[in-house]
Amino acid sequence: MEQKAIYELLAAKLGEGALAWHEDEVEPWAEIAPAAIADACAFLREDRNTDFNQLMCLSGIDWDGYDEAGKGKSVAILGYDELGKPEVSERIADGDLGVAYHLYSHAQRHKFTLRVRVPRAVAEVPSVAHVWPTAAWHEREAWDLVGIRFTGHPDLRRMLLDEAWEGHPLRKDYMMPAKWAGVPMDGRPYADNPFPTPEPPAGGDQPGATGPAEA
Amino acid sequence: MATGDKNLTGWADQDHVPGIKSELLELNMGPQHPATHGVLRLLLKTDGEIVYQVTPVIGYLHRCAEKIAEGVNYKQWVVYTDRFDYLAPVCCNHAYVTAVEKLLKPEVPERAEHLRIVTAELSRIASHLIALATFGLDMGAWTPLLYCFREREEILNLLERIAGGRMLYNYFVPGGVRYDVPDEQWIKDVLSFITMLETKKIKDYNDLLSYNKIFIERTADVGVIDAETAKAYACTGPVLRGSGVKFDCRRDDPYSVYHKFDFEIPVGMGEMGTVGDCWDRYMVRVREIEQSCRIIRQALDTLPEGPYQAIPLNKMVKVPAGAAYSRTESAKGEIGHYIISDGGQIAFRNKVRSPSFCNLQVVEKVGVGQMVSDLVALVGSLDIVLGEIDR
Amino acid sequence: MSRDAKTPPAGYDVQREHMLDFKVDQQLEQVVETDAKNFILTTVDEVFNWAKLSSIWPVTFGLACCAIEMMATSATRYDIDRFGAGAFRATPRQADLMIVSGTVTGKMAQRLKLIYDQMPEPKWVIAMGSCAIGGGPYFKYGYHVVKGVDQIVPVDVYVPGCPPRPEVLIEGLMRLQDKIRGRKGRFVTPKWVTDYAKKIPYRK
Repeated sequence: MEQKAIYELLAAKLGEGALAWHEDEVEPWAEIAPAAIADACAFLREDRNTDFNQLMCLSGIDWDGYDEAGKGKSVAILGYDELGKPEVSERIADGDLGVAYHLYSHAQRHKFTLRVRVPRAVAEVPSVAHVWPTAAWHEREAWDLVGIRFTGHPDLRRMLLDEAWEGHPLRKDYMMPAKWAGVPMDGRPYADNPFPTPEPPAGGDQPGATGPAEA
Repeated sequence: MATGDKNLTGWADQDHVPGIKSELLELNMGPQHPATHGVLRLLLKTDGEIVYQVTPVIGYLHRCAEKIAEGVNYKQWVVYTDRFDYLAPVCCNHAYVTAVEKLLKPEVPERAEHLRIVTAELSRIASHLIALATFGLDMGAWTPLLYCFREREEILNLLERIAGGRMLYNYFVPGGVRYDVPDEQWIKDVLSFITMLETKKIKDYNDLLSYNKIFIERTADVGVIDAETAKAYACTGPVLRGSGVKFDCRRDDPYSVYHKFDFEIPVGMGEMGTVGDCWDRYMVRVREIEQSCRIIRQALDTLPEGPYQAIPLNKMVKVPAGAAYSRTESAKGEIGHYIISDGGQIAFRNKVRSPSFCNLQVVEKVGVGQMVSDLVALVGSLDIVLGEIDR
Repeated sequence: MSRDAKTPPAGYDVQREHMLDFKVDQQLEQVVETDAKNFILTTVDEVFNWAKLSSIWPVTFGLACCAIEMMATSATRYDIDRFGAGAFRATPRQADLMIVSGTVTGKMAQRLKLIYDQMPEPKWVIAMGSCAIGGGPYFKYGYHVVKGVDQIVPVDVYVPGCPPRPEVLIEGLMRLQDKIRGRKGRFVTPKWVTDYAKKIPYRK
């Protein structure tokens, strides 16, 4: 099916939930209201004409400082330079957060892209893990790195970083920690103690931590 | 997804032997474990040898590549794509440069596309050889590793002659490849190598491992992933094809110039047991090596003359604003790059969909009810690379 | 222009200097070759060190890309067993050497230290690759990357490269053996390397 036709099907189903169709892009995409995304995905999965049985990719995005004119990013990466001097920015990030869904159908051989955008203060999107099981890990990763909370997710824990990690690294205002769990991370050679014993952080995933069944 | 829940309900409360209270044993497999292919950690709940719940814990190799993508320019980031799937680095480069080229729209010369395919397929063979070797190692066969590494060294030599590096090449640039073919002898050497591989070496592997009775006993009917599960968990690559689904990005969603070449897509047929068992996934890889050889031969036979770069190497790339998702078939499956550009020299956001990440997730479902030793076979047959899972 | 590494250039001296003046080896060879009535004079330290350096057992501890090169070093073409270091042990309690092959992340640092502590004395550490030496390409923006394994455990030999070639890892192992022997490792760039480097034309 043509992507435009898919969007029209979707818009007829969702009504006000389908916000806009962006045709003049490299890859056309549909903007969906956050509240309607789970319905939209379930519809696209179940409908025989669309039949999107594969979620190719789910990406969390921090749109803060996005400037289409390409005048440079307003928010820099905050870390430490080669001499261990911290880079500090006074600016407070206030842009939206977003999620992009890339769908594919094995039977129909077509693709579709959905996007949602939520305000930074809310940062909640309904989970689609019940539609595609593969979304569960993608959403955990998006929660971990971008800090978007997926409501209705069966097991929303951090995916890559430790449970006790502070902050969400792919946010544009994220500041790299100088030290974590006793280990210097900022690249300064031999801080105070040359060989610190790394200690598991309190509340982190300790060896033998229980899985989701008992959580 | 805690798929093991239903098996666990009320289990510990039951008195299997009257008067003796029994409970499940928690077993920690990894992150330093010889059979987890890197720093993967699996939390198991077992009753004796039977696994009741598997929870993969990943992130021990999280190297922040997506954050780095927001700090280095488009050409510099090719270096980091090498280090995702370090067994088949050229395939990862391919996914990234096709995503950049979707936005940039340079006219990639035909010769560059052919060279890309030749190197990517060589890299795929090298990765599959490691997959065979380590899978054999997991099953207790040490000898195939020595044979597979011998051929892999030949591939690394060939790639070193064209790309300059031994293992990680940084060979692709947006708009072409970095170096041309060094000399005519290189083409002859590649052709003679793949002829040797096709005629002799694959037979060696089959004799040593594939049709070995012990190996078949360990892998047939073990870790069966049916087609529906594979699709639902978005498994790709040999894992999906091992389950009998005939899907390959190179054929069904063509990129580069793969549409010009004639090759087959091997799928699991359940020759030794059930469709989608570990042996099928293993055998798909062996057969893909043959198909890769076919592609390389065709690509080299029709190698066109002409330039190999659309953009000079010393020129900075400025990508127009927009977003593009591109997927290619890596050795492990479908690797996708989602690039959002704001028009500058540095990507605004670069998300990587790695095949191993999605393939590994199926362990949570399929691993339940298996023996612990069969779980090793299952994880080994998925052929995961932790650099790609954790990024 | 072929850059095949298989053919060494003319004038390549295969005999390495530092392999020749190997005192204890020579003495032990004498014992084997001559009658049992002969005796050797040595110190207990030297004999013990000779024993230690001749059978270094590394722990199977692959982290990232470099682990594949470590595997290649132990596999067919390079065969690290020639140097007595081929018995990769799956448990740190049987190992002498930890080859930190790859990027050490914050989450892994605790486990790495745990594995190091489980190894019995005497123990050595080789930091393999740029990441283990100092963060490598992940230095600047790597919020989760430990900038060098020497911030956690003491390192004996640094093997540079991204990833290092197997030859380099073997060179690092030989430097470690020098160190165990109680002798300062002296690295002299062989003449054929400098000559060969001059011949490589710059590729445009």
